[in-house]
Amino acid sequence: MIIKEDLDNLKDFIDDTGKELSLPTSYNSDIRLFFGHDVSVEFKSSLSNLELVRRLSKKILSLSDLFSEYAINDISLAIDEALTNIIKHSYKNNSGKIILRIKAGNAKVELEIKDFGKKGAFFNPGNIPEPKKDELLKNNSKNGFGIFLIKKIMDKINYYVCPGISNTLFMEKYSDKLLNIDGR
Amino acid sequence: MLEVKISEKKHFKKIQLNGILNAETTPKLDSVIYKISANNNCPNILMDLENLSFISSAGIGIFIGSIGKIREKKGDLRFCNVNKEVKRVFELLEMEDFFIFYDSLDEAINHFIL
Repeated sequence: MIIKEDLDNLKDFIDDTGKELSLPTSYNSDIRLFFGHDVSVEFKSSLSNLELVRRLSKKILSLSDLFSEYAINDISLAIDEALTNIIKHSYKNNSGKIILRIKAGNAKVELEIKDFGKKGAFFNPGNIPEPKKDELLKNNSKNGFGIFLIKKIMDKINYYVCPGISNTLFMEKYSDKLLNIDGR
Repeated sequence: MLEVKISEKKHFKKIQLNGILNAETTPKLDSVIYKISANNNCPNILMDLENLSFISSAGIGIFIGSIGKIREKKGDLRFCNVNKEVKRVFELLEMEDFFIFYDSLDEAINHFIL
């Protein structure tokens, strides 16, 4: 569980990282943290926010003390890939809102990423084929690897589409440290 | 967040990246690789990733998307100084045998001769 001091530190972390990445202040102020048993981050759909949210996710995951640095890098990569798909495909690079919820406890992290893009489903996790190398050479394909990576990294993925309301990607990964089984 | 430096070596062009390669920063590198591969008969490119701290599938997608045309022209795109975190993404995508990696720039200079 994230305590209030952690949350204050996260706010400072966002400000400092935003400055380091030379993000306009407007981007920083779009990111808000909600305190609870988990952390929810709301931000504007923009590729400019990708790196800030990835670094923030790493910070939150490290506070949970459930994962090795290796696993934290993997999970934050999965988050980057999911956000990229939402920004590019669900919002088609138009403005919109994304809510990332990170709930760490019970020896696992649950991630929920919600968007309100009009187009609905940006993927169906069950229907993504593995990249075939021979075909890649011929096709000069640059995209389509993100979902493959997410499936490889995360232990569980679900995608819920509620037309006209929201789309939610749900992902889960079990602790590789196996600490705090009581669900801190 | 991404700095791209190009330098000329005897057998290849070296592209050094400083920063991160995600969906926001990839267009910058994409146009550089495209120009080199389009304007050279035998485009040999060495990517020096010593100062690249993060790569997403969007970044690796640039290499995958351009390698076909580069190899058609009898050139190649190879890598040196790839750190563990970046190499991990190549491994997750099962692309580590798709490209040639050198541990150092010196090793690349000695072996990247087509």
